[in-house]
Amino acid sequence: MLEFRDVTFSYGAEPVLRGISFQIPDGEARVILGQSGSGKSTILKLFLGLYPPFSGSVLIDGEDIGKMNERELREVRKKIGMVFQDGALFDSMTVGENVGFYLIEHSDLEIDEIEKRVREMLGYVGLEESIIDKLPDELSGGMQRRVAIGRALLATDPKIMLYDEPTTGLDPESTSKALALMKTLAERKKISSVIVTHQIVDALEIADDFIFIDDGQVVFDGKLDGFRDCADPRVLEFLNPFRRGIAELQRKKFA
Amino acid sequence: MYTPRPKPTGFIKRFAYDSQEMLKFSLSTLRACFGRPFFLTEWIEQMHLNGVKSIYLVILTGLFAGQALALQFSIELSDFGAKTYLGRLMVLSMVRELGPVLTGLLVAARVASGITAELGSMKSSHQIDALRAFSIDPIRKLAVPRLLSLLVMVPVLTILCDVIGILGGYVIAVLVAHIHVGLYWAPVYENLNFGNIFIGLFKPIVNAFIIAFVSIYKGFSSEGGAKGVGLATTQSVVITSITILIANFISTKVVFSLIRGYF
Ligand SMILES: Nc1ncnc2c1ncn2[C@@H]1O[C@H](COP(=O)(O)OP(=O)(O)O)[C@@H](O)[C@H]1O
Ligand SMILES: [Mg+2]
Repeated sequence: MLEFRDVTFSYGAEPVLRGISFQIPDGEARVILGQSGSGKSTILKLFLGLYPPFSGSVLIDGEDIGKMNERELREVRKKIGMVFQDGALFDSMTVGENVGFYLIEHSDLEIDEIEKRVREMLGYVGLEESIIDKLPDELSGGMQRRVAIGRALLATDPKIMLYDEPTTGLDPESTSKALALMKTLAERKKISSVIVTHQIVDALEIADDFIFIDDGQVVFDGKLDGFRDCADPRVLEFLNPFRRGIAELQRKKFA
Repeated sequence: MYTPRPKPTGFIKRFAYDSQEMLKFSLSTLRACFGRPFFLTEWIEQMHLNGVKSIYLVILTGLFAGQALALQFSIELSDFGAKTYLGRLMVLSMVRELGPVLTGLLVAARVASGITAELGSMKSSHQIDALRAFSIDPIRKLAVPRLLSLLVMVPVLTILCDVIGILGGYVIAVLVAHIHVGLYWAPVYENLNFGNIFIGLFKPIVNAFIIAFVSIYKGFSSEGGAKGVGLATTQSVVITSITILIANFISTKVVFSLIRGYF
């Protein structure tokens, strides 16, 4: 169970989160929607314990992340796989070193064994083994994102996956590959997923439970139907471009 | 470092805040030097990048600076018929002042900018957050190897610069000033005493700390994407350069008066 209990947070003078609360039961997928700058990435960073909340509590399986020291956090982070915005691959390391990063740093496995697991993982996320010696810069955005997913999975066999804008900036084909992978993971491995995005069309593919945040506050928390019919002006404003898009498609007889 | 707090506005408050943050960050980097894990591969890699790759630059600088200095000295000295003082003046000026300052400024330009730019771009692309997400302490993995590599390489490069500068002076002594070889070298050896060598090594160690602490802090604390990284890089070079010059003056003043008897 993942939970935010009345969390406030700020990087500087401006508050970024102003009293956020929500719960995500085990094994469920939840999409966090919101405009750029609304504090979505910050929520994921708080789940990882990268920053402590100012007030309120961040709970993972009932344990308060904000009160932990680095050693305790390390144990909690083993449960979590994080896919950062744009992948955040280590650009001075090869694809293989990226995917095997956690094992190289924290395990006593032989390098051959790690390489074997890295190759398996590349296959699992739908990449060719031959890219193992390439640098991240030499890959397309979509491939980088899948390497990042592989890196998160090979780390510790996580039971919670956090995705920060996993499809932003990808072409349609890469998007559907990334989405399919995330869906398989969520279903086959019984992983709880939190997907942060501002791309509602992609969000619909993975989950039908939504949290909409605006200006550091939860505006909506519920199912798709409720979200569609939500009359809050901030939700309407967020959905308007999307609705105009559908209307446009219908006008051109595409939808 | 990682616990964000409201940043004060206004030039003086901001300066005080930045200095305080940098001090705290530097202390935690120092503390981390003595703990485990130690990233040996990163340390060696940084020594190569920051030190070995700066060698040509330092050789060129030392050579031309030494020669120019020797030319000036020999002209002035010959007016007094005191050309045999050339070796002595070369050692004093290269080892005590020019070697440390020139090397410090060169490394500030080449290495401080590189470190800030690299760490800044790692920060803005969330790679530093990613390290922490994988339970790796970025201070241990990124800051410590850079600091330790500079602590080794800046003194080494400074000694190289001194040696090349004095050799450059020798070339001028023989070819231009027509001083006998022995008359150039004898005062050189004589003046490589404890006091001069001490101050000649003390200064580059201070420079290494300045370059490392400023450039690493500026990289870790940069904000606002590519533009922010560019700004941090410029600031890093400017601050290290000026601080090196100020620290050099203070070292000369203080250390000289403390160990006067050894010169
Ligand atoms: N490291 C940081 N330091 C200072 N401000 C930050 C930092 N990261 C994000 N912010 C600010 O916090 C707010 C929320 O950012 P973020 O959580 O990244 O939003 P989102 O992911 O929804 O786009 C933004 O105004 C952003 O400028
Ligand atoms: Mg974001």
